Amino acid sequence: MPEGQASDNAYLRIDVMGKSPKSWAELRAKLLSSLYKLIDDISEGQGCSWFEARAAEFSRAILDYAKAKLARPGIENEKTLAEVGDLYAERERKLAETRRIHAQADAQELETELKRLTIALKMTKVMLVGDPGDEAMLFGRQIDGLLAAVDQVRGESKPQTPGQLE
Amino acid sequence: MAGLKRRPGRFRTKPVRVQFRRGAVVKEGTLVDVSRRSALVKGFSRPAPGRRAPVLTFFPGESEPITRACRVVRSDKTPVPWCAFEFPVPLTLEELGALVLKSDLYPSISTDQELAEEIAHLFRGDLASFREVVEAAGFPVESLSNVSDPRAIISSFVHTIPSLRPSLQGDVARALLYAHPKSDLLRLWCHVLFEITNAEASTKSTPLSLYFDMSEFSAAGIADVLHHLSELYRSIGGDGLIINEMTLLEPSLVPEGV
Repeated sequence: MPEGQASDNAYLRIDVMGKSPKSWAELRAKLLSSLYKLIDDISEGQGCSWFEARAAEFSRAILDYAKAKLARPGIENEKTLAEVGDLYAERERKLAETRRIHAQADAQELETELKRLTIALKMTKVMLVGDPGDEAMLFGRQIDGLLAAVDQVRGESKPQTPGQLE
Repeated sequence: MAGLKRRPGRFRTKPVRVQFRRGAVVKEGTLVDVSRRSALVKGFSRPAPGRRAPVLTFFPGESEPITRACRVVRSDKTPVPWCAFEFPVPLTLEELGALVLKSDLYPSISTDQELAEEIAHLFRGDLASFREVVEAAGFPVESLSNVSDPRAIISSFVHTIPSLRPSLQGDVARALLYAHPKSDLLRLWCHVLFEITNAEASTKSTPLSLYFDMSEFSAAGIADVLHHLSELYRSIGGDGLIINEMTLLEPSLVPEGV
């Protein structure tokens, strides 16, 4: 693994929210319901009972705890993080530019974006965990690996009985 | 009454009306049953000479199960001068609303506009931002212009909130019942607003956490997904997503089990 690059089994956690907190508070649930529908469509026929069982088990609070334990230390992360941030900012800039030139119909836009997201996620596993209002989304084939690690971290945090210590 | 302590020295002895929905014939010396709320009454006793005890308050509309008997010495609209009761009165939101709308304990601020301005001042903001906070908390701002009594505003506002912290609810009841100074009421009102807006914020405005498997997604792929999500958010009326925080996680950092 080159210096400054994340290893293959690393995960990038990105917390996103709307630019306007007020709109975000109003639309977060709507966005998630669109995503739920999308995930349902994607996972249809994929035999996702294992995921459903795991999703019920993991709350965002547990993932937050795992974040504290698994956060990779050191400045070498910065390259990866900066790269993602720059690329996202660039796409948003281009979009803003395009928007100025072509106005699009909202309904059509929604359809198109759902299709694009579907294509982007079709080959991955997608999972939503957490309670309503506190959800997190997991993308990737190795979700089970991540959850196993989170589970292990969580297990370590539990107090051990004298028998377990021996 | 659990958790609510009597606070000596904070009683007000301002007379209030005594009314009964049931047992309407209440004469001096009549033994009457009282409702659950008036079961707060621990008993009647003549206060020490020269000392006034707080008065007992009944409001119409009480329909709780009768739980205790006590002696009411005088009734009608005359204050009962020598009853002692536990403090504060634990009111439900509905009871509070009824109380606020029916009582005349609190000296009115002259107009709702004046109340709004006072509150805005306490917020150290302007009236526009006050209205924004009220609106964000789901209160119909237009109703502010239809009421003349600030207690009615508070009452109707409190009624729009399904779950207000019980202790705060008690604070509101206390302030309204015992005619705290205007500034107290206003501060309390602000407190209610903050509680509500914070609760709203904590349940509705949590960032969405996305975990990307780095073996699956390149930086460009992640940026694409974020961009699609952002566009999806725009298409439902949002203004685009921003990255709040990024953290790289290494599950391999988990030490091997013993």
